[in-house]
Amino acid sequence: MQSRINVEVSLFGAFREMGDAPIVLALPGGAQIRDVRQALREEFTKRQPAFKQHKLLDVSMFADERALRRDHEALAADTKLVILPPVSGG
Amino acid sequence: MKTPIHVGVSESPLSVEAAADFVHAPEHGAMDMFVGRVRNHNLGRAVTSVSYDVFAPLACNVFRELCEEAIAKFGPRLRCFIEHHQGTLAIGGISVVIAVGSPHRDESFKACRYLIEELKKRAPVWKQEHYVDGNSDWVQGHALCGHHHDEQETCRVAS
Repeated sequence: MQSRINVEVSLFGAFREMGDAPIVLALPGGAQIRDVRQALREEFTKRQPAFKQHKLLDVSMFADERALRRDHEALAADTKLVILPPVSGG
Repeated sequence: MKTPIHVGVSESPLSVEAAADFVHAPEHGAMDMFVGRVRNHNLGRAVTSVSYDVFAPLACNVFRELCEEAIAKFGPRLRCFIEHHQGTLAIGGISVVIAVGSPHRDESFKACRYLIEELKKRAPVWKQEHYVDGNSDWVQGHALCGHHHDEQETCRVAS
């Protein structure tokens, strides 16, 4: 198992307020989707000390280009993900 | 036989004519269409335009899955079309076009309703409204999986 993996997270919807560029997180090997959520929370708080969108982060899902990814799923090395806040299309 | 499903995400104006043409088949006697358009108000606020943010690869997967579900539920001879706009639209702009063609009207009505209702709950699309006073807000929407990120049964979006 790799000691560190890089996870690139693209932002959509209300999370665009945190920047348009994807956020790259360095996580321990064997990390799960739930660890991405926590690392993203810390990154958002670092960028905006007054970050208040914790509830939005809690109800958002992660996905790749094909499907949603569950909190318990382990990450492969150098994974690309997106964070999906509640949807409002149509 | 032509493939019965067309899905897409476009930054160009959507075409209801293209949708009607796609779902037509000689053996069909019915077509039902839903067209979503930008309205000038929401929740008591005057709206000037709406921006649509879309994660296009997954959105197309979801649209295709919805069409496959509609065909399985309402009949193997359906033809289904879904396109969603990406980018900013003025009042009256077309945000989504859904069309279903079928041998008889009942399955077209039901399938079209099914597609728009499921799209609103499951497609990775976000709406940002721009108001007369210069402010903008992201519209509160449907959580893809609620708070239960590990639950499988309510959250199947794409296979």
